[in-house]
Amino acid sequence: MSDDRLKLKNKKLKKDRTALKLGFFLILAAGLLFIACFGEYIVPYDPYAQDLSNALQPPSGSHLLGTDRYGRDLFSRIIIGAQTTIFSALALVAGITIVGTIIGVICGYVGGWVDSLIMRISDIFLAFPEMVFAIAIAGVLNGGIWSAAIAVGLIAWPRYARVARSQVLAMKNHQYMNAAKLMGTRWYKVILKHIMPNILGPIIVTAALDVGAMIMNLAGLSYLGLGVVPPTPEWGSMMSEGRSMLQTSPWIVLAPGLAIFITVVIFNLLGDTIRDILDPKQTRRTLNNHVQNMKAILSGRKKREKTLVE
Amino acid sequence: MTTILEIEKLNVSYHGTSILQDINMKVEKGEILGIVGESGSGKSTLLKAIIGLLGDNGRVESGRVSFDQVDLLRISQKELRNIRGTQLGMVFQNPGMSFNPIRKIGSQFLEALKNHRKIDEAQAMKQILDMFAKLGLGDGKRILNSYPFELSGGMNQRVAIALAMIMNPQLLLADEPTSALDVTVQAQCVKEMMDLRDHFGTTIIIVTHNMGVVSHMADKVAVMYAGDLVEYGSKTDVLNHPEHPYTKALIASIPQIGGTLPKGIPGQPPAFGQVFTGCSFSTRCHLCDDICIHEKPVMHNCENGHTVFCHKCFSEV
Repeated sequence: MSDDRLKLKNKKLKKDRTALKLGFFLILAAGLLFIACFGEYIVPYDPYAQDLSNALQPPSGSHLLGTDRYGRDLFSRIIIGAQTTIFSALALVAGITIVGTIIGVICGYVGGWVDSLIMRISDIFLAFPEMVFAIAIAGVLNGGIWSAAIAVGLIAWPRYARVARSQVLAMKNHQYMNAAKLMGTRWYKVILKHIMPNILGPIIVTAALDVGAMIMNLAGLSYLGLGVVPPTPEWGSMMSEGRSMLQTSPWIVLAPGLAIFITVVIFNLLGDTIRDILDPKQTRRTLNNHVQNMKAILSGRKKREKTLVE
Repeated sequence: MTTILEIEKLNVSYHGTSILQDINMKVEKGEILGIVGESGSGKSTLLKAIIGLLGDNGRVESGRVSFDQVDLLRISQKELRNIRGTQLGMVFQNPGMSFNPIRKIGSQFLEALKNHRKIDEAQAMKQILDMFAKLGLGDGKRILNSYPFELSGGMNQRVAIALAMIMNPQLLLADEPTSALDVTVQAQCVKEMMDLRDHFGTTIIIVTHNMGVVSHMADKVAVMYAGDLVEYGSKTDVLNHPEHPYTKALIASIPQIGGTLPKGIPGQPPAFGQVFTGCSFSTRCHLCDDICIHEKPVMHNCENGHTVFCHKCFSEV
């Protein structure tokens, strides 16, 4: 087989594999959504029912993931908690994607002082360390999952606005934008029909890659007691509740931690796959790349140490 | 003949740097005006200023562009939008760049038609195919169902001309429409544009580097240099009896088959933003004199509306 044909075959294989990967992760994500939607019908126990005689039981046949200090079934609480965690993260990503994109498109399209003003405001938001700023905002608001979502949303929108804005600016220089205007196209039609379809790819990629991070942020705020108010089950606050018993009953922390880990990994890999499909120009983060990077960093550090010793 | 476009003392600058200086021009209805000059002489800027596409950097400092008694520089965006497309059309240099790459050509034609009036799809399709037929574009259905990248460059440019003409504008501005095409397609495009004038009486302003295209198409020729209009007149006057040394040099630098290497013009065109107290061509002109360096040339009228901006050539007439 000639080299070219081999390359072509490899390319096709790669494409097939990406499609397969997308299907696989979509099914996993759909599974998570299914659990989140119909959790109430799956749970073996009432997630709120306390049973102090059964408190702090390790995982067993009757309690798959054990019980917490009030004797509530952890498995049931995690399944119900999926609803809060996943839905609030998805709603949050959808919200900031829409708001951020609208702001960015306005900045890019209108330009001038409007653009400068909004971009300077976004600079202010970007200047603070993300989590510290979110904690401050969530602290000022009343608490509860919505104030946590607002806090995370406030720190996340500038990124979306910037992606959308830079894309619009790149679009603006294309001749066909002028051509469309010269045909007498109205401004909103120029945005909807000519700009939006062209810039949607990078925005979807940003959003897809962000779902995992948003779950982490929300869980993080809940862990600090700034998100969901107990007794509503939420993975972050569940971990927080169990942290004083980490040495005696580690399953209370490990079970929701594992749930967060699995969910974030699934959504991140799904986002990666979507990126591979919509933005093929970006290099893929393969394991090999990571190993190479690590090697480079380590060898650099060794060299530096050597020179220091000498 | 009525005047359709009149430009008076037009000054345009980019970021405060003057690009066009005191351009005066008149275009009659049904006329084809060719604008020639080196790269950077302000030809395209002039077109953009006429149609209001200077973008964020460019600014019209002063002057008037009246189209059909309407001052294009002083009307509202809404009025401008109504004039664009229906009465003014434009063809760009890069074939295919006039079309959004991710939308089918048909939908972009429909959009152009729907911008200005209510029209049902079947009627619109008929009108588009009619236009294609007039321009000699066969297989119109396939074209409308294609994306821009599926058509060749020449085909794209011809379709772009059709798009600019779909609303039957009175004035078509063409910014180097043939520069990116091979010679046989160039000939086709030139013929199509001339057909437009014969069919619809469209006035055409064409900017080009190609003297062959100008000598074939144009009725009037304007020669620009460094943002100045240096010579203007009918095609035969300007091309056969050029008065300005720059026009003469430009014509001498046309390559000819079987001929010797063309002469070229010594020196470089002036740098962006360079200011002259005298004639802008003085640094490269073999007739250059003290007066050329210190005084702006004024307009000299030869016969038949043939005008030249030069201190030197008038004495020779």
